[in-house]
Amino acid sequence: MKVKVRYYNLVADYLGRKTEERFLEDGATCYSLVRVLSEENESFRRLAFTDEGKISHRLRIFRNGQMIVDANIRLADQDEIQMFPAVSGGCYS
Amino acid sequence: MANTAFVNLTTGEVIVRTTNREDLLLFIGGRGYGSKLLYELAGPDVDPLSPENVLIFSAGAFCGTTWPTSSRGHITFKSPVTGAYGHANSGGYFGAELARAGYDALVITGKASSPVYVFVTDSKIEIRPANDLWGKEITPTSETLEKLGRVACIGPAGENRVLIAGVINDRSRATARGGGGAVMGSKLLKAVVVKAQASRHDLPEAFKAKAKEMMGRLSSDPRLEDLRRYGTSILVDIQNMSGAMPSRNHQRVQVPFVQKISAKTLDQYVPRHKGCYACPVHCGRESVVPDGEYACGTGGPEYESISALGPMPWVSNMEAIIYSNLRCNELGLDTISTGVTIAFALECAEHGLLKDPELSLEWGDEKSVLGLIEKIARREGIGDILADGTKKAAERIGFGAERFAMQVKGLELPRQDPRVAKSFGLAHATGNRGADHLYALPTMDAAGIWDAARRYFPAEILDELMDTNNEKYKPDIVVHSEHFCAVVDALGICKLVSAENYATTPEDLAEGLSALWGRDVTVQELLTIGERIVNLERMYNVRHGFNRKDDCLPERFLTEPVDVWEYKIDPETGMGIPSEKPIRNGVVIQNLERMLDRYYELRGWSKEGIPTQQTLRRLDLRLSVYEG
Ligand code: SF4
Repeated sequence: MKVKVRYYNLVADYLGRKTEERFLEDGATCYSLVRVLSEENESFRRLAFTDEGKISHRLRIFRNGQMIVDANIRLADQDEIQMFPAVSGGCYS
Repeated sequence: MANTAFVNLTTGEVIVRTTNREDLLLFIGGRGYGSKLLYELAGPDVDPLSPENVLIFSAGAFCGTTWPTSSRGHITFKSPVTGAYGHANSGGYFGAELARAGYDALVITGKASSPVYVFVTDSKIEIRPANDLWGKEITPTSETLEKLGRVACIGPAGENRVLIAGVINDRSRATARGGGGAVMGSKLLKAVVVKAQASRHDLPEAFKAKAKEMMGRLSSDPRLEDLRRYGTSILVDIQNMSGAMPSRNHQRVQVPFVQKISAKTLDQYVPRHKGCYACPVHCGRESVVPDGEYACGTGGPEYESISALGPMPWVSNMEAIIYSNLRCNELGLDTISTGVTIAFALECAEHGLLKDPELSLEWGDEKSVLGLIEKIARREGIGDILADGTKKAAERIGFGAERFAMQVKGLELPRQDPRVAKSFGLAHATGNRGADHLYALPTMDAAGIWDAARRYFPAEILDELMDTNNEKYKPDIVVHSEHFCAVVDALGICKLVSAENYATTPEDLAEGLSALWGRDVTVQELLTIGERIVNLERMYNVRHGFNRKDDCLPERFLTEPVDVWEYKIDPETGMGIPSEKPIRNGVVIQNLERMLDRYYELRGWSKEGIPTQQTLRRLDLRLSVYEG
């Protein structure tokens, strides 16, 4: 299957591109897509994964406009995926 | 609807009136109501440190209810650093207690003849002597007064009218920015203590039901998980990765020692998490350094304080940062302005413009940081110059020192770098209380809040809008966010679960306010109230001669480009090693004037940054009402 992926800000800086079409095996999940990408760039891996190997909240992923909460969700042909670094977590003083 | 109390410290007179319902319908409460009162009560002829200035403690419409995070207390005053509009906001329990005691606002005017504190309950307000407390730091003051109720007080810095002094409530929650502590000190007011005898029993069932739903949602929202786990220090790492970690007074935007000051490092010093009233997140921290020269226990430090007291003066020792945070809290100093003012002093010293007989004033010297904190709070030596903040200090030092003053309208920049975090850059320029991350908290692009962006902006601009490096639609983000933040402050809830990430949306708040008021408030109406508040605050500044020239940024951000590097962490040393080539070259504010043009146009303001009569009429801001 084919999905369209858009990368934003720091994610695009690390991966060196803003958009691409990717061919994935049937049954591929959001997690498996992030895992493959993380093999390309160590900094992206640090951003994307927690020490426990889960997808970090610092990576915000949307599938067809909806925020992905469960990384094990299966992707479908023609899905549009967006990945943002989430520079958030509190600015109070 | 509750009461507004007017306390005149000169005459000792206390007047309590039922709050005008019309005012609350127009401005909701909290910050909105405080701004309305300030506009009426402190005109251009009022010196901020004179008895004629007002200090308004106000509680938002949701404060003290069952709505999650309905804890935020607000103070409004004419700021001694900007000479115009000033406000500050904090969590804890004080704001909720004021609301539960039945007050929308407590308006303090005049000046006592000797130190006093004001004791507030549902049924009475008393002015009591505080001679024994004068000169005391925050913990001993709080220890004494906490027996009576919730305490908001100043430390020695506020007493000494240090212009970067704040008001500290619940021991470590800082209503920090803009010099409210100096205003309080100028009135010889050491503290306000509030004891509520009742809870808010006037809540409609529909409101309680919505509050319960929100409590459930926020308790499990994945967007808040890092905040719950690590507190605001979670930002240290990602800000540094993004190149938005200002260091060496904004000469750099990343630090190689990020691991030494990260959330995980701080976590080793945190035996307890702390929460504010009615908060399911508990992002607050109690840090303890068990032994050594910096042995101490303190609330915080939050991200902004870590960044201001660590990377800005190039300090990498987490224990020294925790201790500096403690000293700022105890003395009653705004950690952001203090850290930025110290970094200013170090850069002045680097250029031979400042020296001290005891301190090296070298980058990374934690002893200089700690020494300056004490000198600023007590106005000793060069501390007397720095106590007025960077703008006034630069004027006194001369020889071009103003190029090292990282301030807008007199208020020091919070801890984002405008060149990299461009939405924040514009917001720092336009904020009515001066350089301010919380006036707009424009995180939509940097935090990747795509779902909210889709709701509020046209589809065709979204890709450019969400690109942090593209300046074209930054004004759109800032305008929308300023309205949302004004509403959040008027309701008295926390931005960390709302404007920062949209875990609470404007739609949720409209539903809650509709239930509370018993009449439909649409999202558009709600955001229009936010717009009204922002315009009123702008008009307050306009009355004081402010216009486009004041919506500026320090030259550094327009003329000194920075590179952003990818850092690999050396497993042996824990230090970051920069990549061979930067991932971003020459990042700078490209065209602030163009951003301002669009910002003013979206707002219906003139090219000079002044609301037009038509805009004021649309917002129901009848100037004749406010010009007395
Ligand atoms: S999220 Fe943090 S700052 Fe906000 S109300 Fe909760 S504990 Fe307080």
